[in-house]
Parts: sequence; structure tokens; C-alpha cells
Amino acid sequence: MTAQTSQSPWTTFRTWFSRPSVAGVVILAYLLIVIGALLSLNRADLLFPLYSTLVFPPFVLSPLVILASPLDNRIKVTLILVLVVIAMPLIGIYDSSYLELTIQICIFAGLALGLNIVVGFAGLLDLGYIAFFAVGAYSWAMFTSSAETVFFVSGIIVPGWAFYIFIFVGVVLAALVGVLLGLPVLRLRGDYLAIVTLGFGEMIRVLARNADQPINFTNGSQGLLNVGTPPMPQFWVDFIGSIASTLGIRIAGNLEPLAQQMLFYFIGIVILGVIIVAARRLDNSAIGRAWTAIREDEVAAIAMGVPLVKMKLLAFATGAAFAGAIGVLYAAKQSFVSPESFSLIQSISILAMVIVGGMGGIRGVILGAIIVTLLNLQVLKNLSLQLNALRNIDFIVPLINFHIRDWPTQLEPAKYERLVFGLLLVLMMLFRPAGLLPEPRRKLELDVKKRAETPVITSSETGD
Amino acid sequence: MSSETLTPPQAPALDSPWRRLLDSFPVRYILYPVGQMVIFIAGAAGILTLLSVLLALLVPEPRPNIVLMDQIGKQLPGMIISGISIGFVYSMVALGYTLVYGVLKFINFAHSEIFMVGSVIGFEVMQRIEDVGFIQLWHPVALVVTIVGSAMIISGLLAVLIERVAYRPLRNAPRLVPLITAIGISFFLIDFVRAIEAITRNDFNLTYPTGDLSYLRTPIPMTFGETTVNVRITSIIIVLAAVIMLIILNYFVNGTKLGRGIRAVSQDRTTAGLMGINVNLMISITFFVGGALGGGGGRIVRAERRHGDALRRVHSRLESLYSGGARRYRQRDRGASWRANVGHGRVLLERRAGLFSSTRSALYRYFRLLCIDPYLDFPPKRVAW
Repeated sequence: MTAQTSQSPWTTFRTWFSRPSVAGVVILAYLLIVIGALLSLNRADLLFPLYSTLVFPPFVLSPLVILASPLDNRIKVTLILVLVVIAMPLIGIYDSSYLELTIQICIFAGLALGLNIVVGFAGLLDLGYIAFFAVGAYSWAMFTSSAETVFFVSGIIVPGWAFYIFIFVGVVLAALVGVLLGLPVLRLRGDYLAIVTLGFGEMIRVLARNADQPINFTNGSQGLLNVGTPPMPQFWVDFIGSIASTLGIRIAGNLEPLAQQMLFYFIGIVILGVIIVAARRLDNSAIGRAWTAIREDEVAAIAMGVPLVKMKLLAFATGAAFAGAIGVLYAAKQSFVSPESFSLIQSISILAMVIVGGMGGIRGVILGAIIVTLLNLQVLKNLSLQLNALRNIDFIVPLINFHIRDWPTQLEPAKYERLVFGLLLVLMMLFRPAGLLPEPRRKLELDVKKRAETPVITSSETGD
Repeated sequence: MSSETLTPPQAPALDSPWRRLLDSFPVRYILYPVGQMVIFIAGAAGILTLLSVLLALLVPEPRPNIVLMDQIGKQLPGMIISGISIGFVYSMVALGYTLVYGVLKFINFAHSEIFMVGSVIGFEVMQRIEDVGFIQLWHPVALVVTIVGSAMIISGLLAVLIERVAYRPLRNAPRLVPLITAIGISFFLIDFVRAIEAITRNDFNLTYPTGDLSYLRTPIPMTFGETTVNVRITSIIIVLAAVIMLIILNYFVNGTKLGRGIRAVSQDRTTAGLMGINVNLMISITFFVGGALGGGGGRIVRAERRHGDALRRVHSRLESLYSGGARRYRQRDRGASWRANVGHGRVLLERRAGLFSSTRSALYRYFRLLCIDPYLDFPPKRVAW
């Protein structure tokens, strides 16, 4: 059996590739090709949306590719740091839409990691996760928006530098709300839990929509405008400007928005980094093992002395805290917060990230966040742009002789994200329930369940 | 106490004429459920009346422009009738939903989409009939029966298909897994129908062709004391349809052999299978019946929701999500009084849902809030009562 497989070309390739020198060369070539392709794109090109859809995802996925390679750990970390701190900002200066996308990916990856603590680690399906995100976003937005809220009218407006403090305020507030949600649902399991959390998510949204009536806290459905941003020191703007001029990139218009984006990018990266480290440490700690125990068998976990109430509340609070911090960042970045940003579809898309990537694993969840965010914000949108561009020049598809102009105007890919999400969720659940990058323990769990369905045949055949 | 439970239940006196009357078909399957329903409705209406009087009394004494009893006498009949009509709309959805929940014990998130598909199918069939030019020739009753029937059959088949594709392979998986596919299917169906409408007509505003059915829109005035309430014929159809559905379903589940099989599967799937019941067939039938009820309900509700101009958006919410969603929500906020209207319906509905099985009204409330409301166009822009 071993002799047969070692000769297969795939195995040969793997052994060849697992040599660090070969892998290093391949990875370097990959990075250079992707970055080169990204920089060589021309916005005026007719097929630009299509090309950028093809080129940007490989670039964003490159840290995960590096992590999967058999290189030395120090080299991996260095490469990723170079990518994150140097390559990405340079590409961002070159074309700030990529920077925007990367910030969104940071935000959603943070959210997905938070949800992963609740769903993946502790096994509590939370369909209202977006509520905690909303709590974080509103906590910053209410105190800085120039909308006619009670805070603005009475002059309680915090200055921009308080942003860094409010990240912690958001963490604490969201964690408190998480405990508040956790307390009543302690005894619920499975779909009941899902329904209650779903209702809770809607509750927070409806609360935000209606908390403008007697006293205007949230400005209702109009949302909060002009949310404050962290202050930008002049040297930062100058620094970005000097880098841009050194590279010979002319920045259209004002330099400030780009510098602002760059600032948010670094804040997002730092928050995401902290979340990743925290999630990793939690996973490998006694708390993480307690969560795993609860996930696999609640009764057995109690019998083994796991403090169930404490651990469940801790899971809710931790997941919520991550979302709170991310929410503050989101509010400042979007500079607009409205109840409609926190609808059910957002919760579901974060759940989709966790499921697509692989519940319980950190790398998998980040992969899922990248895939779903890119699908949502780049691929579908760019396909729509591409269609419109082709429609404008009356492009005719060769061979089948199809006039793009005849394509129905309502059939825009960007408006059909639910179709893609729905299909993604169903297909993942049917064919790869453990996700694209399955966490080993969960994969084992699902396999055991599958084997349990046909016990006689498998046990007798694999017995020896 | 314990000895009481241990003794076998006394065999009922079969020959007692009273007993025989109670066991007879019309009493057991028509009079009993309908009577229960009437009692619930009357009770809910009474409690709500009492509540509204009490709440009104809370307003401090020099009440501006309100003569309390006058106001209640004027508004309450209309409110109650509107509540009954909306309550029956919900009950039609709840019937199919609770059936599936009862058998599989899992939340069929896609049920609201089946409801939506039912109304779209009804539209498409009616459009085809109109295209051929037959709509004027058909007797209106035949037309309604054809359309509702086709909507029921197709959405029933759709529900069976969904079960076969997305739920059956995962029946033994952890409970979260089918829940997630249900959400996925529900999202998929929304955009799938949108895509089909986009391809075939490039428009999401579906206008039911009505032909000469305009008499359906003429309301019947009903007098309560000094107030007159205009009751639309469509709402009478809704109530009738829901009552008929309830009676048939009640008979189907409690009175037939297939129904017994379904109940057995819902109690214990494995044992039912060992007893020779075809579990997969039973579950498929359950989904078919549930889907058919949902789809038929969806089609009938659309008849109701069509206002005077015969122009009604079938899934306006779907596109409003993307275009001008904010505008719509603001409108919604302004019509704050709709809550008062819906209140009645909601309570009636929960009563009704509790009637069929003891299914969890709270569960249903969340379900309804999230999955059904969007398609019902709340608040009604113009309260017609």
C-alpha cells in the first residue's frame, strides 16, 4: 500500500515541495508574480474589474499560503510581517480600493474569530452575533456623531483621541451585553438557542432603530452621521505623502483620506493580531479545553467538573468583546452607523465565514472570512461593473453570439449575494461539513458520527 | 395518586349515546376544532377589549378629545375584524410550519420562502391564463381553485425537493448542520426567485392580472351598533380557506392512517421504522402537506394584499432591501399605529398555533417576526377597514 502511494505523482510532488529551499523559492516567486500583476493593472483597461478580481484574492490569501508552506517559523513570520507592513500599504498607496478591501477583511476576520469562539469552540450557535458588533459601533458613534442626539445636544462629545480608549469601552460594553444574553440562554441548546439569539440580534437592531423617541440616543433609522475618527498627526500625512512621491505615484486630490485609510488599516491589523493571539491562547488553555468539552458533551463536561455556567458566559463574553472592539473600529471607519448595517444577513454572512473556513480552527476561519468578504465586496461587485462596462460598449460574446446588452438589467451579480451565500452554506454542509481547512478534532468528531451510522460494515472491515 | 396512574384507564362506555355523538365524525373533526377556535378568538377579543379599556383609563383624567366608550365602540369592531383576518393569514403559515416542526423537530427556516414561492407561482399561473386570453371565460371560483391548487401542488413539491436535497442527507448529523442548510436554502430561494423574475420579466413588481374579478374588491358593509365596518371579500376568503385547511389537516393528522404514521414518526423515528412505517415517505408527505399549506396560504394572502388599484408588490421587501431600503423603513416608522392593528392578529395567531399542537408560541413569534413579516408588507400603507 505504501509502495503504491509513494510512487504517485502527487506524493512525489509533495516530498519535493516540502524541501524548504524549493518551497521558499516557489513562495517567493508566487509573491513576486502576484504583487507584480497587481501593480501592473491599469484602471482604464476595459477588463480591469475582471483582472483585479482574478489577481487580488491570491494576494490576500498569500499569508495563509505562507503559513501552509514547510518553511521555518521565523522565515514565515518575517515574510508575513513584510507583506502586512510593507507590501500591502504600498499597494494601498497605489490603489486605495485594495486598502479599503483589506480593512474590511480585517474587520470581518475579527468578527468571524469572535463568532468562532462561541460557535466553533463552545458549540453554541449564535445567530444574533451582529448585535455585539452593533453595541461596539454605537458606543463610539453615539458619543461622537454630529447627529442631533441627546449627547450632541447636551455637549457630551468626546474628542477623537478617545477612540483608543473607546476600543476598550466597546470591549467592556459588548462583553457585558454578551453576559446579559448568556444568562437567559444558559439552559437552551441547539435550535432553541439559535432562535433566542436570533431574536436577540433583531432586538438590538430594533432598539437602535427606535431609541430616538422620547430621548434621542441613536437617531433612529436615520442613523448617526459624521462619526468621529481618531486624530491624525501631521507627520503621518507627510510620511504617507513622501512615500508616495518617492515611489512616483501621484495621488489624486487630497492626501488626508489616504492617510486616514492607512491609519485604519494599521489599527485594524493590530486589533486583528491581538484577537488572533488571544484566540490561539484561549484555544490552548484550560478554558479552551473546557469549551471543547462543553461542545462535545455537556453532561459529561459537568460530570468532569467543568463549571458550565461560568464557561458558557465566558464564551459569550469573549466572543462579544472581540465584536465590540471591531465595532468601534467599524463605526470610526465608516463614519456612519445605522440600524440597517446590523441586519440578519450580516449575522448569517459571518456565520458563513466560520462555516466555510472550518469551525473551531483559527486559520480556517480567517480563510473563510477572506473568501466570503471578497465574494461579497469584490467578486460580485466587480462582475457587475464588468457587465456594465461591457454593456456600454455593446460587447458581443464570441462563439455563442450573445449581446451583453441583452443581459437583463436586474440580473446584476452584486444584488445576488444571498444566492451565493445560500448555495455556499448548503454545499459546504453537504460535502465538507468540517470546512475548507478543518480543525482536526472537529473533523474527527464528524467522521465518528458518520461511521456511527453504518457501524457493522466499517468495524468489521477495519478491525484488523 | 400513584396507584391512580398505575391502574389502566377505564374503557369508555362505547354504547353510551352521548359518547357515540362525541365520537361521530362531524363533532370530532369539524365541530370540536372549529368550536375551540371560535372560543379562542372570542376570548382573545374579549381580553384585548378589556386591556384597551384599562389602558385608556390610564390616560390622566381630563382626556383630550376622547370620550372613551365612544372611541372604543367606533374603533374596536374594525380592529377585531382586521385582527381576525391577519391572524388567519398567520395561521395558514403556522399550520404548515408546525407540522414540519412536529415531525422533524427542527426549524424549517425555508418555510417563509415556500410561502413566497406560492404567491409567485399563483401569479405566474394567472399570467399564463391571461396570456392565452381565457381569464374572462373562466368562472371566478374555478379560477381561484385552479390557481390556489397549482400554487399548493408546486410549493408542496418544492418543499419535498428541499427536504430531499438539503435535509435528508443530514438527518443524522449534529443538529446545527440542518439548521444551517435551512438558512442557506432560505437565502438561496429568495434570490433564486428574484433571478428568475429578473430573467423572465426584468422586474420585481408582479401585478396580478384580475380580469373582471373586480367584484372581489367591493367590500361588504357590516354594521355594529352605530359603526359600519367594510369587510373585504378577500378577507372572508382567507378566513374560510384557513378554516377549511384546518379542518382537513386536523382530519388528516388525527383521523387517517397516513396521519397516524406521521404521528408515529414524530414520536420516535427509529421505532416507527421498525414497526413497518416508511419513515422517509412519511417525512416527504409531511413536507408536501406543509409546503402546500404554506404555498396556498401565500397565494391567498396575495389576493388580500392587493389593494384597490390591483397593484401589489409581491416581494417588495426583497428589492427594497437593496434600493431605497432606508426610505421604506422610515415610512414604516411613521406608521407607528400599525402596531395596534397587528396586536390583535398576533395574539389570535398564537392562540391558533397553540390550538393545533402545543407548539411554542414564543418560538413562532420569533420565526414570524423574522421570516414572514417581511413578505406581508407591514404596515399596510392604507388601512382599508
